[in-house]
Amino acid sequence: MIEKHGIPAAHLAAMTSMAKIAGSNRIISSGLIPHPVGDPTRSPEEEFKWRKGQVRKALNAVATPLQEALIFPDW
Amino acid sequence: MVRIAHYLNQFFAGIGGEDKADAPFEVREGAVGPGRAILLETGDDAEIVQTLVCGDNAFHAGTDAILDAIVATLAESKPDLLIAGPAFNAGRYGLACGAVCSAVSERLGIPSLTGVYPEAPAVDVYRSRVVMVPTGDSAAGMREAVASLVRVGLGLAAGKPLGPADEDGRIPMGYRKAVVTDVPAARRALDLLMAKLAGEPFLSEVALPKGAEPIPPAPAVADLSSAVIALVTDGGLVPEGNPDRIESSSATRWARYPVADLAGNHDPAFLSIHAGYDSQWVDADPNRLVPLDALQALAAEGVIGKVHEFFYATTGTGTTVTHAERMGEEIAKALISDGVHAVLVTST
Repeated sequence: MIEKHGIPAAHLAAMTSMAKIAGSNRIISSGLIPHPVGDPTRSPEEEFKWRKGQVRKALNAVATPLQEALIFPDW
Repeated sequence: MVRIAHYLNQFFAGIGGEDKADAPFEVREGAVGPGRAILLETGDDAEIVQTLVCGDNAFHAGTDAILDAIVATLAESKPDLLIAGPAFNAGRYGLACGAVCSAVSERLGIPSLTGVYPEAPAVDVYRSRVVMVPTGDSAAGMREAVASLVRVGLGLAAGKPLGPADEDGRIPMGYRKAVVTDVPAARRALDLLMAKLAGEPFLSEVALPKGAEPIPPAPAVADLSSAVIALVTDGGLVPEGNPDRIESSSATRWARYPVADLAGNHDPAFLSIHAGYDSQWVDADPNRLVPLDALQALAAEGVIGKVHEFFYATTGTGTTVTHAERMGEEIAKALISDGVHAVLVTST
């Protein structure tokens, strides 16, 4: 709905196929179901670094022109 | 002969249109308006003993008292069946028909049904409690609507149990009924698969929920370094005490909270009220759901222009597509009016 109104929205989720079915266009595979942008197995510093990386991927997704929905590769 | 009571609004009772929507509740003997069409369909199998009439606004202004009056009237006349409408796509009328059917059946045990357009608001509200047949969206579909009402209604009056909705020609009531079959599930699944592979028609035994409409991607952000970025989540992150009473599942509400509060994360602390996942890791550090620390760091580095001052939250578990779309619309409008350029959404 947010994209329908012209605002690009990146969707960070563990269940990417669900995000696709729900109609998201810019999908980023991220984390686990209970913490899509968290990784409690890492040290706090490492976790923050990792999360920053995930957020950068999502920012890259909103800056990428698309014709149709895409699950962004985990580059 | 089946004795039918019939409910109509002021328009179909011939009182008048919107200017007569405050017409008070009244009981008339015999058939009125669409009731005559019902009798044409039933022939000598049924009679309409009473027509209950109420203006649409009057009904909604005094619902409880009018339902009490209807129940009292029918407790005395003891019809075999109540038919309400058909209401087609009329909002207030359809809701009134649903309320009347549900009150009469639940309080008197008299079978009842109504006819509505499948996308009418009454369907969402009453489908699980009221027998409904699908109709067209306007009174142009009266003949077909009446035929369906009579077919299903006479079955109800005769005590015939409900079958599958599509076989009965009813609007699905949203529950499954277990039945014993001679063919085990594995065999039925294989039959479906074989039919699918052969390009033959097949019917799934499980109705899938209505899917979301595909939406063409929005244009990309041209310059991240000047963009305002907002955070949105369906992971149920709210301040302690859940001041906006967002539901733990099947949400109908969303709210937005200042990111400054979340950044401090104390008094009130933020917690997830989502009932669909174990929130212990998010409660320990909400950045694991709403990545505010990372986004603020990227803003400080100049990668993005600014973090939007609010984050938006609802609960995404058991939430209907209808409510999800409505909340998405509302959030999108708020984001636009706040000048947000792009959004990061996180889902659990």
